[in-house]
Order: sequence, then structure tokens, then C-alpha cells
Amino acid sequence: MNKRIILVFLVLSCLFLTPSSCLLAEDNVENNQLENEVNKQLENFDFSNLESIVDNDLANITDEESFKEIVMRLINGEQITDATTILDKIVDLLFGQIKQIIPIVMIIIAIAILGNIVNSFQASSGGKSVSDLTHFVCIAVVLVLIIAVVKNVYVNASNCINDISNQMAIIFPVLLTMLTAMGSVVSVGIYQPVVAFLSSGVVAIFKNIIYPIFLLSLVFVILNNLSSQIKLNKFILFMGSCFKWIIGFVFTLFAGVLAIQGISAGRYDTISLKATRFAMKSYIPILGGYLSDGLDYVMLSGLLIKNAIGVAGLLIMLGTILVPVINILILKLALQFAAGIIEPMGNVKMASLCEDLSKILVYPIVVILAMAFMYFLFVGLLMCTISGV
Amino acid sequence: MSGWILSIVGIIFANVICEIIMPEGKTSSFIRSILVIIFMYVILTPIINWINGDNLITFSVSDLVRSEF
Repeated sequence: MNKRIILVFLVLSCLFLTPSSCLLAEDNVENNQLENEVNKQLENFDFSNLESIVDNDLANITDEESFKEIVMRLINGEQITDATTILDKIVDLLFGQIKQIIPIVMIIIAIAILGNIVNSFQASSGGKSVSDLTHFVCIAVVLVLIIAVVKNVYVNASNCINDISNQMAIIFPVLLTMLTAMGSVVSVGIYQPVVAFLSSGVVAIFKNIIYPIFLLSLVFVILNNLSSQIKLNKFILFMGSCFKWIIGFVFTLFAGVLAIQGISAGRYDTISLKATRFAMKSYIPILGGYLSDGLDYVMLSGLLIKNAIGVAGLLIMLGTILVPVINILILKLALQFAAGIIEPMGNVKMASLCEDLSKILVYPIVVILAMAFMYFLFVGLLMCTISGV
Repeated sequence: MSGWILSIVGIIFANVICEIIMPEGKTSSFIRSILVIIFMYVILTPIINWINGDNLITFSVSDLVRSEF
């Protein structure tokens, strides 16, 4: 009786334990094979170009040291950075920028108060041209301050666009090479002109047309508030309209036409890949199955690396755009705040100057975000190509 | 481009200074309208140049794409 129970127990345990442990072992082997393949492929990459550019940008969002490290962690499925760490860094950045901008806002408000006091003395003695002169001098002093800050913003924004285009010039060739290695020749053929268009054409359009429009509207806003006789409101509206149309046109061209083309090309490559695997499995005698499995490992590791590089590239892009965007945003809000404080004191002209300037500062933010969004879209598209191996 | 912007800035500054130092009277409105006409001419200069054959923008996307490869 006892023996029988033990026998049943043994049989049962064999039944339950064996398959799972066998599966586990097989899983481990698969994982190891994949890991080896990934490491082997990753060793061949040289990211030194990229790492020399992104040192500062990386520090904005994560504590990781190098690009390769981020890619490795992404492949292993580890956490790169806490949500709280990123938020802390953003909050630090915000408060740092606010602290920098407060003195400028205070000086603007102080000059407005001073101008008001002088004007009220003048009103009692009744001299119109002298009050005009004081107004002119006050606005000139405020302008000196604001132009210094806005020039800084302009330089930051154009540097940011340059950085993004440099990153594209490094990330996209790597991703496209990975795609070619994985056999998606049709997609690469379609993506390559897109990369050229994005990393040089769009950047050139932004720098040679959009930024001059921004500068021109800035100058016109200032002149509009300086002279009470020549008004340039309509001309500023015209500039704004040009800006919107050009951005919209570039965006539609890129996002609409090329993205749809890319999606269809990716589908075509997936099908041709499946056909290759089927042909290998069924037409090569005896070895076909093994070869097809080996192909799978190579493809999978390539896929992992490609997607990890894409995600890491997006993270760096986030770090690049974070500082300029927050910088401009804070300046915009500060000018609006100054306008809000100045207006009740009766200095309407200076308030409207601050308000108009803050409206113009949307342009560089829009340009940076548009660039970032196109980059994001395109990397996403590259990551989706052959995702279902 | 920068020459154009600077000339606009100059003409507006001239206008503002005239506004401040000019005495009130009948001739002031004439002077103002003359300044406005000069301003209009300055603003339209690029278009006039363009029509006369000077290229306003020398920029081509296809050249850029070609230089990439």
C-alpha cells in the first residue's frame, strides 16, 4: 500500500515537474543565445560621435553616463530613470529659470513706475512733448533689457535645432543600417530620402525662412509700440500668417505623405521576410529548420537593438529640447506677468509692448516642438518597421 | 535682409524723433505724411528689387538633398 502511494506520487511528480523544468531549460538556452547575439552585434557599434554631443543633454533627464549604457539597459528591460527623478530635474530647471528672470521683471516694473511718476509731474505743468520723451526713454531702457534676453533665447533655440539635426544625422544612419541588415530593403529605400529631407531640408527651411520671420516680427512688434503714428499691426499679422502656413506646409508634407508611404513599405518588407523564412524552412533539406531558427535569433537581436537605440535617441532628444523650451516659456510668462502688473498703473503702452513680445515668443517654441515631433514620428515609424518578426 | 530691417528701424526712429521735436501746427501733418511715404517705399523695397530681377531668396531643397548623398 505504502509502496503504491509512493509510486503514484513519483509518477505524478514526474508528470508535473518534468515538462516545466524542460521548458525552463529551453527558455534559458534561448535567452542566452539571444543575449550573446545582442552583445555580439552591439559591440560592433561605435557611438563615440553621439556621446560627444549628448553629454549635457543626457544629464537633464537621467543619471546614466553614456548612450551605450542606456541602450544596454533598455535591451535588458531595466528601468532607465524614475518618473520622480525626471520630474525633480524639470522642477529644478523651472525654478532656476524663474530665479534668473525675476530681476529682469522687477527692473521692467521699476522703470514703468518711475516713468509714471515723472509723467504725473509733467501733467501738472502741462508739457506734451516732454511726456512723449520720457515715454520714449523708458521704453528704450526696457527694450535694451528685453532684447538682451530675447537674443539669448534666439541663440538657444537655433542651437537646439542644430543639436537635434546633428542627433538625427547620427541616429538615423544607425537605424537604417539595422533595417537593411534585417532585410527591409524597400523601407530603407523609401526612408533614406525622408531622412535627407528631415535632417537637412527641414532644418534649412526652419533656419533660413522661419527664424528670419521670427526676428522680423520681433522688430516690428518693438517698432509698433515705439511710434504712435506708424502702426504695423497688420504687418505683424501677415508675418504670423506666413509663419503658420510654412510650418503647416512642411508638417503636412512630412507627416502626411511620407508616413503613409513608410507604413505601406514596412508591411511589404514584413511579408517578404515571412516568405524568406518559409522558403528556408521548407526548401533546404534537413538543415532548413535550424537555419530558419538561427535567422530568427539574428533578426530578433537586431530588432531589440534597433528599438533600444530608437528609444534612447528619443530620450536624448527630450533632454535637448527641455532646457530651451522651458527657458522660452518662462520668459514668455514673465513678460505677460510684467504686462499684467504695469497695466493697472496706467502705462498702457509699455504693457502692450510686453504683451506683444510675449505673443511673439510662441514662434521659437512652436519651431522646436515641430522639429521634435517630426523626429519622434520618424523614429517611431522606424521602430514599427518589421516589429512583428 | 538685415539691411532692409535696419532701414525700417531707421525710418521709424526718424519718425518718432520728428514726432517728439516737431511743434504743433499745419506743416507737421505734411511732414508726417512725407515720412509715411518714405516708410512705405522702404517696406516695399524687397518686392521692387524682386520684380526688377534680383533674387529675394536663393534656396533650393533639391540642392540640399543632393548634397546629402
